Amino acid sequence: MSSRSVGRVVPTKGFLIRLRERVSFLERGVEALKMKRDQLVKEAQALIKELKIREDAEKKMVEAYELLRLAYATAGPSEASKAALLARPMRTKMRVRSVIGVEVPEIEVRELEVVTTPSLNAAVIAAAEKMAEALNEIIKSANVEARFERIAESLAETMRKVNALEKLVIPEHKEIIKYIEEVLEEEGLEEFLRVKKYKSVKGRE
Amino acid sequence: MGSRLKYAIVRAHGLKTHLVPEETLKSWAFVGDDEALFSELAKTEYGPFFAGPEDLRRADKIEEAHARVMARRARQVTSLVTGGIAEFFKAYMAKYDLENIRRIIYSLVRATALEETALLPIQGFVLDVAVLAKANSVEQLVDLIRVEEIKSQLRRWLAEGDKDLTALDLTLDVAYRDLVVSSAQAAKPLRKDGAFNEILSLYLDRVLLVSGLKALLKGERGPLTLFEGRLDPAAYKILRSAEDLRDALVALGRIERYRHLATEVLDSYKKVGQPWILELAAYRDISTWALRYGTKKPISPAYLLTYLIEVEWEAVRIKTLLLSRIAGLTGDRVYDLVKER
Repeated sequence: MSSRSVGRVVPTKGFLIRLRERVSFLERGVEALKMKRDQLVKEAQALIKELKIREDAEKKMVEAYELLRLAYATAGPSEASKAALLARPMRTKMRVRSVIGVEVPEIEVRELEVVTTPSLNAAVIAAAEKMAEALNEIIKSANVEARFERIAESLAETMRKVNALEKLVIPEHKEIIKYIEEVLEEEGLEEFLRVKKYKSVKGRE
Repeated sequence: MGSRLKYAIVRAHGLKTHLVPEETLKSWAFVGDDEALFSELAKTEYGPFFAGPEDLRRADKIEEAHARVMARRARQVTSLVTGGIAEFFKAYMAKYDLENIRRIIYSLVRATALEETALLPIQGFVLDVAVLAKANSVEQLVDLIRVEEIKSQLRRWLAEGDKDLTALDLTLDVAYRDLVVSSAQAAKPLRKDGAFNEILSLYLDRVLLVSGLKALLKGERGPLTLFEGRLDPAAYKILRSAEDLRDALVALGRIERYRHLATEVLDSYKKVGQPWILELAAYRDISTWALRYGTKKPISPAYLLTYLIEVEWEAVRIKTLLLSRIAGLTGDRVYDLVKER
């Protein structure tokens, strides 16, 4: 006999002991995975509230684009090229953090300098500042969304593992333990009868 | 008044009739078809600078046309007058040279490559911008400047040491104001003309006020001390004591001469939460006051200045109209931007 989770079944006492040990280990593993699952659910629920940042970020982005449109209409590209002389690229730092064993990326804005001067058109100043504000919000939102995505992936994986162990692996193991126990019991009974027969034959002699 | 000056003023009256009438300009706000708008623009002085309707959708062409028409008309005025008056109008147009100097200094301070397109296409009123653009450092650039009012202000800014760009902007505004005032003082017919002096002081006051308000918008009050004795004392006091831009605008709204400007900018705050209309509102205000004073004394040097201010206001409105169409603003919105008060 063989099984997908156990492999080739050898109905021996030693194999039965190893199987029993394995089942108890799996049951402890399932408990640990369930704890992880509960913790991940808690973490994901807390993040759901933070996911609303996207709404603010999108609203700010719409406002920023509206101001950019107005800046373009009232100031024109010459002002934009003047503002470009002052611009510096945004500097960020990315690192990986561990949340209950799940690796999540974290982006930190190191330098987002909006250099505006009074000679720039007011519409350009307003658009630049709004755009920087919106960019900051987008990065915050990206952080939360990336964390949520990784946690959700890990949660699905943990649940799959718990289900597989609870519904497939452990029941299969238990079934095989039962089968080995029956085989061993049968073998024991046969042995007992054989010994009894041997004793009665021996007694008649 | 000399006959040459009289002739120039009469010519300015004639030239004023070539400006696009208010009603026509406002009606363009609702023209959706490029072909139709192009055929309208072709009848004006802007026409030669647009090759076809497709150019009305090119922002670089629009900016170029705006600048070239402005420079052409200003040079027309300076060619009609001589001596101190001609020098004054060159000083008046020096704002374009100073704008280019500002851009060159930005690129030198921030170590950004200066592309030719970053400079305005009109220059050479009081400074040789093409030569100055070759300077390798701000110090070298200041040494190359020959106009004392600009040189001394930039030297003072350099001596402060920190090369603060907000202070630079206000310094250049102050240099422009000093240059214009000194050239107006040097020309006797201008010095004696009350209406001319009213328009000029109002124009310079609004230029400094807008810069001051934008410094407040940035939350930088320190460099505003440069405006002491140059800006209207009441406005200066408000700028120095206001907590923020809105606070300053509310206070300015209580002064009769600043009411319209402050109300218009505060209105844009209500609509979009930003004072994006600051420059347009300032120009609208300057043009209204200039017309009021200029038409009071139609045969005086004040009319020449009124004409140039009107030319600039028209150029700004046409540029705004065309760029607003590219930006996709609705006809009503464009109409609000380009209409007179």
